[in-house]
Amino acid sequence: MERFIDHCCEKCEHTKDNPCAQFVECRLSGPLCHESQSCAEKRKAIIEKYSHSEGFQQH
Amino acid sequence: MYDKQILICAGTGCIASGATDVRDALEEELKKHGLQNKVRIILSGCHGFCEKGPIFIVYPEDIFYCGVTAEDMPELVEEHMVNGNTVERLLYKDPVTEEAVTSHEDIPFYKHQKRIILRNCGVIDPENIDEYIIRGGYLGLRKALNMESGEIISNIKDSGLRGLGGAGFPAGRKWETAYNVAADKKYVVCNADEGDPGAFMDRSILEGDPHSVLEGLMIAGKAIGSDEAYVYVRAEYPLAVRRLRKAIAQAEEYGLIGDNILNSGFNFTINVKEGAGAFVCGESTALVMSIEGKRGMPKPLPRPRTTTAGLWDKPTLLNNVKTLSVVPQIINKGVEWFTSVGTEKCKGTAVFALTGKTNRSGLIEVPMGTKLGDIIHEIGGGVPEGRNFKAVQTGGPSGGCLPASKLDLPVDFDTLIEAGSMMGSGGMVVLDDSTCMVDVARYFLDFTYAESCGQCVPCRLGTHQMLQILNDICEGRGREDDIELLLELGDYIIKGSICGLGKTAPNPVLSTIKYFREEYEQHIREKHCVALACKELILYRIDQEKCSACGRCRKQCPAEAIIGEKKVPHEIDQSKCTKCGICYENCPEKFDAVEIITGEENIPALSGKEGNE
Repeated sequence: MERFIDHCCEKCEHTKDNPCAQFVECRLSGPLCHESQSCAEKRKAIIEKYSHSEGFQQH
Repeated sequence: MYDKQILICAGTGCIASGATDVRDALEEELKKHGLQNKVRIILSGCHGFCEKGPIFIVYPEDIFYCGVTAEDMPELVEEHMVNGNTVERLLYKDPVTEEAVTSHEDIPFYKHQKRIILRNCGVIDPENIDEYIIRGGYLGLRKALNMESGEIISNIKDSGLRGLGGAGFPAGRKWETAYNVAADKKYVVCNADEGDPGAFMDRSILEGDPHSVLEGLMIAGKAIGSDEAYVYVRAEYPLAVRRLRKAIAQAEEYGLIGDNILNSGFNFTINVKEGAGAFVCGESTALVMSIEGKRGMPKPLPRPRTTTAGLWDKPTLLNNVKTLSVVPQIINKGVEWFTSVGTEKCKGTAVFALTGKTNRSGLIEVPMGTKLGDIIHEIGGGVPEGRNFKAVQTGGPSGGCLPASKLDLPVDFDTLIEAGSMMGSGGMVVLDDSTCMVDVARYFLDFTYAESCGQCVPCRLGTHQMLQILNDICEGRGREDDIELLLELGDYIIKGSICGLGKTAPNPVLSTIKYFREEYEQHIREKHCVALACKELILYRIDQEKCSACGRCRKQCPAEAIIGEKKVPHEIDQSKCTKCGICYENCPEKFDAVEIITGEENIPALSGKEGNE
């Protein structure tokens, strides 16, 4: 999972044609549809990669 | 994970200053030191401090370098990235305090701002949708998709958001009107036809945070029941257009634009229409005509509002870039959050392109209600030493000039209009005592005259007549009744023009007459330009007693207008002099022999010059 659009595992089914209602929240604090430490770590890695400064994630 | 992240501003200003060359040289240097996988380079949108570009910030330590060049990269990488030392000579040195500042948050230009609309500009890579999402992007849309139209509109109404394109019309009321019109098709349009000279607020948002505009458009679409939007943007903003198109493509790929967005059943498409750069196309009905492929001209009166019959006669909600870009935050963070900033009648913030005679200039954002003087002095650092503040021009060609006595005024839509100017879309030009106020009025009127679509007589001929009179005054042919004539013509144009361009075109003239009438009178009665700016009313002269015949002015004069030789004081041949001022600038300070004179008492040739041409 290099980008948020990539699936974290086979359980993620979000695509343009099969959209997930919680896609945005799921990328920030997911996975929301299944429990997986590994999938959570993948999201965290993307967030940390881009968070160059303190407070970057504040929204 | 990266050890360091380097943010290089890649807004239009910094790119023009060499930001991409800096990026290329940095990549090369990092490779040389084997750091290419440890340091991430981010090309961001505009930081606002364009005069100091290219801007280069190193994280996590937040060291702000400015004015960097490709040639600086070997030293920067060696010293900062490898040895861990700050490169002092590339730090920002404040012209007021003369101190070097390391963190951008401590630079007065940034310290006194409140960035809501510009919060992502200069912070994220605008071409990376993931960074926008990490910063809370598309959470507003997500919320809006679970809300009824009425609830979204209530939020916008309660927020007090007013149109930031200049008019300041309550956004929620506009949305409600568009919602209430029954139609099989409705449109949302983003007005990105930013045309004021020196203004680059909207361009910077599109370049630095395009997804916020797209998200705003979608929320607006959901609110009024529309499934299609247009962004009307100037073709002369190629970077903004490119990043906007890329953002649309990414959002489509993510399923955030298109059919059944986030499984909500809501469909929305966004089109980009590139405008040809006519100022009048910022007017709503002209903009609509232009999108429809017709000549961009305001529709004749009486005409329905665009919210009732706009694009292809369908209800159309038209909002400015800034207005739309703040909408997602209002929906996501709530009305109370937004209303906590600003004044009773004007909520939120205002974005300005602060330019002119200030120590610091660039793109700034302040809470509504901030005093004009605070913007100019605290953020802008005041007028550079040796000169005095004279006026501030706000609102671009539709705005006006305010004198020093008005610097305590709070910046908001209503107060500036009451004072004879306007906020407009956000141009703010600071003028010092070397500026002639009649000439400033002439400059702006020349712009609106050239940009008039020519459709209605008051604007087409009225601005022409006013411009002729201003030319006469500036060139020594002013007549005693010219000021009254300008006031009368201005009144006719305001009352008779069919669109906002015409109705506001006389403002720069009227406001300068209101606050600087004595300058007009001096031009007319004494042929005297106090700022020594009107070329027809001044002469350059060499004081024979002060001249040491050093020859410096003679060698520099491009018109070969200076006569003289060694040990013989020089003279200016007035028949050749083009009044470029190079002799004045080059005369050594210790001699100070070149002087500028004005007024018919000093220049007899100006006497008897009268009568409008």
